[in-house]
Amino acid sequence: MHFYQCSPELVVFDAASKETILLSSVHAVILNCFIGLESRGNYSFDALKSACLKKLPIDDATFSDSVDKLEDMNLIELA
Amino acid sequence: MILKELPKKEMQALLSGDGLSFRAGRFSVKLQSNITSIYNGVAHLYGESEALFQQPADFNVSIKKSTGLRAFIRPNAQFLFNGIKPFTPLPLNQAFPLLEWGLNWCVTNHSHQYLVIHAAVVEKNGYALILPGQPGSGKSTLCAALVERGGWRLLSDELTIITLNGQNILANPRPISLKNQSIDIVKGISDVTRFSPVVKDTIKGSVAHLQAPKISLDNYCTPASPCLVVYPKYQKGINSYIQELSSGESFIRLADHSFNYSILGLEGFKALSALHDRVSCYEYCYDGNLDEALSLMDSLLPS
Repeated sequence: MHFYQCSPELVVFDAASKETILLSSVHAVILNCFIGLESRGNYSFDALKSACLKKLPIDDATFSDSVDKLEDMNLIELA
Repeated sequence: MILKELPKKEMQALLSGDGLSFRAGRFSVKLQSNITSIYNGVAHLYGESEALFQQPADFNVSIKKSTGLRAFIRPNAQFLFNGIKPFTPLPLNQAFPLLEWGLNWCVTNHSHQYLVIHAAVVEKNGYALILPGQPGSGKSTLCAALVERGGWRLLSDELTIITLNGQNILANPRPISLKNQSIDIVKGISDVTRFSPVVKDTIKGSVAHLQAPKISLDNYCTPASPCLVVYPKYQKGINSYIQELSSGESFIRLADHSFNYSILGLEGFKALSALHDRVSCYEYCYDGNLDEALSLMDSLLPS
């Protein structure tokens, strides 16, 4: 995966499928928080949600949907 | 020597013989044809282009008139690239548009050392303004107005050629292709003697070509720095407006407009990333008021 940061959004390029996807600011924040947690070895859903809520107000449904999308894209993997 | 300095008989002999070599944009073309409208079109629209002798051409193409019975019954014209026929033949009266479309095909299919995007591009003060757009968006009309009236230099009306480091837009000035109503609109602001005859009933409707300005041809080696990406959208009767577009949205749109982004893979992604580090992106809905459009485009340039 390769990234182009164009804050608040993020463009992701999958070199294997050659697909280019635009991630919204919400996805970009979640991904950013996940990378922060991953460096500390914490992969839990709750930890990710807690970290994200500190950065942006987001309802449960939107958060869950966004996490599902990122997992589907193999960009994050939660415990 | 430029093509218009070549004696008519010599030019005809080359076209119908071993081939006439000339500069078409930034590429060299060797063209063979036995069709009168091809001779007329090349002599008129490429008259200011450099004639090339004794050097290999980037593209070897020919436009052949049908033979046998088809020479008499609904005669047609066939485009050939290195002897290959990439398209079905078109009616003979569409031979010159076929040549132009064929040359576009040559560039988009054989220039993967660059990122090639379906967009008009013009330059002023060293800054490039990229105008991507679907057919009917008013891209070519706006491009022609910028070049004919606005003091911008034509880099290309159809193909934006970007170096893979994303830092330069290369010029590829060739005749501007105009369709349907835009033909009369641009005739109203240009010298009509620089137009080809209108060819009707093509797959794109009525088509005419406008000579590229001489200053663009003379400066085909001078690149421009990417600065603006404006997505024009012509809508009759609306109140014109412009709105900033996020880099991400523009990135995805330009990738969709590119001919070889997916072929280039990671290199294409890196080129578009580097390009978007340098440009501001806008969507511009306009009602056809070209004076207003020209002022607006100028105002977007860095001071």
